[in-house]
Amino acid sequence: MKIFNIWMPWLFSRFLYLDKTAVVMDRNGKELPEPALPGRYRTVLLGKHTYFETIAEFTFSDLKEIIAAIRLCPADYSPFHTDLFFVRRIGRQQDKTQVNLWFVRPEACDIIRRAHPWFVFPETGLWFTGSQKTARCLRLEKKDSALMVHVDTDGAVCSAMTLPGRDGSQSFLRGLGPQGQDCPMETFSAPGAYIQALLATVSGTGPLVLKPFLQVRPASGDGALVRAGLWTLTGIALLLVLSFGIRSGMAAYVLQELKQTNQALTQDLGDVLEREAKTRAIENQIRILSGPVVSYLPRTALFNQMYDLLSGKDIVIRRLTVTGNRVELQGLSNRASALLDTLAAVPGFQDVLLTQALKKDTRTGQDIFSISFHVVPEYPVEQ
Amino acid sequence: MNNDILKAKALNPNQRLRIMLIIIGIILGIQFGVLPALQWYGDIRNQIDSLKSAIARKTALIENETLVNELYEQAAQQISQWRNRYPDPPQDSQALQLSLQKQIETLAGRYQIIIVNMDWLPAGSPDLARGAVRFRMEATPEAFMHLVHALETGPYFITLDSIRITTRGQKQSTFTADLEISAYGILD
Repeated sequence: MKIFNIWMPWLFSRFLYLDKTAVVMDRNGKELPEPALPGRYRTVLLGKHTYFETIAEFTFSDLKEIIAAIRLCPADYSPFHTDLFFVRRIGRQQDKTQVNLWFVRPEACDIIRRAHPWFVFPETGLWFTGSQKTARCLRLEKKDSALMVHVDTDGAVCSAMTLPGRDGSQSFLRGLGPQGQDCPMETFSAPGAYIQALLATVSGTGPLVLKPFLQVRPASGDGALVRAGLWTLTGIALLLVLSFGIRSGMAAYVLQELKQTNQALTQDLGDVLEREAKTRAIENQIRILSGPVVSYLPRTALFNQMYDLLSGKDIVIRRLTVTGNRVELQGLSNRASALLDTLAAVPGFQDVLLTQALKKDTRTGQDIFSISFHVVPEYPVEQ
Repeated sequence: MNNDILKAKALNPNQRLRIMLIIIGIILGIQFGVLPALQWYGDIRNQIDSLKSAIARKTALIENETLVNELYEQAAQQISQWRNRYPDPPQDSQALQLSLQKQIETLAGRYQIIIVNMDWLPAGSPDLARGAVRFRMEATPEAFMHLVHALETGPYFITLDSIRITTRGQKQSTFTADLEISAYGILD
C-alpha cells in the first residue's frame, strides 16, 4: 500500500487531461504552461466529453466473455463505434453481472494512441475506489457547465454534464430516484481540489482497482508498456547472446592457443611420443599374450598338491574332473568328513562342499563321497 | 446471440496468427539456433579439456624422457619373452589343432598311452588364435602325469581346459581320461 501511495503521485506527476481541449496538469491539478500535443504521457485523464458512460448487465460473469460480447456487438452498448473501452465489474445480483462501461470517442482514441500512456482513466471512473462504502454525489464546476457524478454503495458510477448556465443538481438527483434524494453533495469549484480529492480516493485503495484501465493492449496495438516489455525482453536476449558470444569467443581463443601449444609440444617431443605410443602398444600386446597364461591354473602342480594331500589316507578316487579352476572328486573313503576337512583347510581351496549326500558302499562299508571345490587363481599351487 | 457471445474470443485471427508465428519462430530459433550453439560450445569445452590433459601429459613427458626410454626397453624385452610362448609364425586355429594332435600323438607314443578317440572342437578367441582338441585316452597314472607335465612345460603355451579321469575298479592299473586341450597362436 505504501509503494502504491508513492507510485500514484508519480503516475499523476505530469498527465494529459483530455476533454474538449487537451491540457497538461501536475498532481495538484495545476495546468502546466506547455503544449499538450504532441507528447508522451504516463497517464491520460479523460474528461466527460471524450467518452460515453453506461451501466450494463450480462448473464455471464467472466470479464473476458463480457469484453468479447461487447466487441462482438458494440452497437448494443455504445452510440458510436470505438476500439477503446473500459469494463469494471460492479457486482452480481440475481444471476446477472452488473458492469460499468466507458467507451472512448474515436477522436480521443487517436490522441491517446500518440500519447502512448500506461493508464487511461475516465474522470468518473475512479471515484468508486474510495474505502467508504457509502453513496457519494460529486459536483465539479467547469468553465461553462458542471459535471455531476453519483457513486452508489456498490460502486456503480453514473454521471452527467449540466446544461450551460444551469445548476442542474436537482434534476440530476431526481434522475437517480430515491437513492439520490438523501445523498450528500460534494462540490469542487476548482480543478486542483478535484484532482487532489481524486488522488486521495485512489491512494486509499490497492493497485488492482486500476487494472481495468491499464493499457497492456491499447486500441493502437503498440502500447508503451507492450513495447517496453518487448524492448526489455529483446535487451535480455541480446545480453544473453552477447554473454554467450563472449564466452564462446574466449573459449575458441583458448582452444586455438592450446592447439598451438600442443602442436609445438608434439614437434619437440617427436621421438619421445613415438616411443611412448610404441610402449603402450607393446603393453597392450603383453596384456593380450599374458592374460591366458596368468589366469591358467597349472594342472601338474594341482595334481601334485592333491597327491600330497590324499596319499596315505585310504582313499579311492573313482572320478576326478578339473574344469577351469573347479575340481570335482568322487570316490570312496573310510572317513569322508575328515577328507572334507582336509580339503577345506587348504588356503587356496574355496567352496569345498559335498555335492551329494554321503552313502555307504555295501561291499566295502566305506563312505561314497562326491566333493567339489574351487581353486583360487592367485593361489600358488606350485610347490 | 448468447451462444455467439460465449464463443467469441478475446484474440482476433490476426493476433492469433501473430502469436502462432512468434511461437513457431521461438521453437525454430531454439532448434536451429540455441541448441546447435550450445552443442558447438560444449564441443569446444570438450576439446579444451582434452587438449589440456594432452598438454599436461606431454609436459610430464619432457621431464621423464629417460623413464620413457627405460619403459620402452623393458616392454620390448617382455614382449619378446611372451612371444616365445606362442608359435612363430602366426597360425590359424586349424594349424594349431593339427600341431596339437601331432604333439599329443608323439607324447602318447612316448609314454605308452592309448588314444581311444579324438575330436577337433570349434574354438574362438578375440585376441588370440586358438585351436582346441578333445582326446579320450587310457593311461596309467604315471604316464598320464608325464603327459600333463610334458604339455605344460613345453615350449609353447597349452592349456588343459577340462580333465575327467575315471577309474573302472580298484584293481585296474589304468584309467580313462577325457581331455580338452587348447593351443594358442598370435593373430596376424
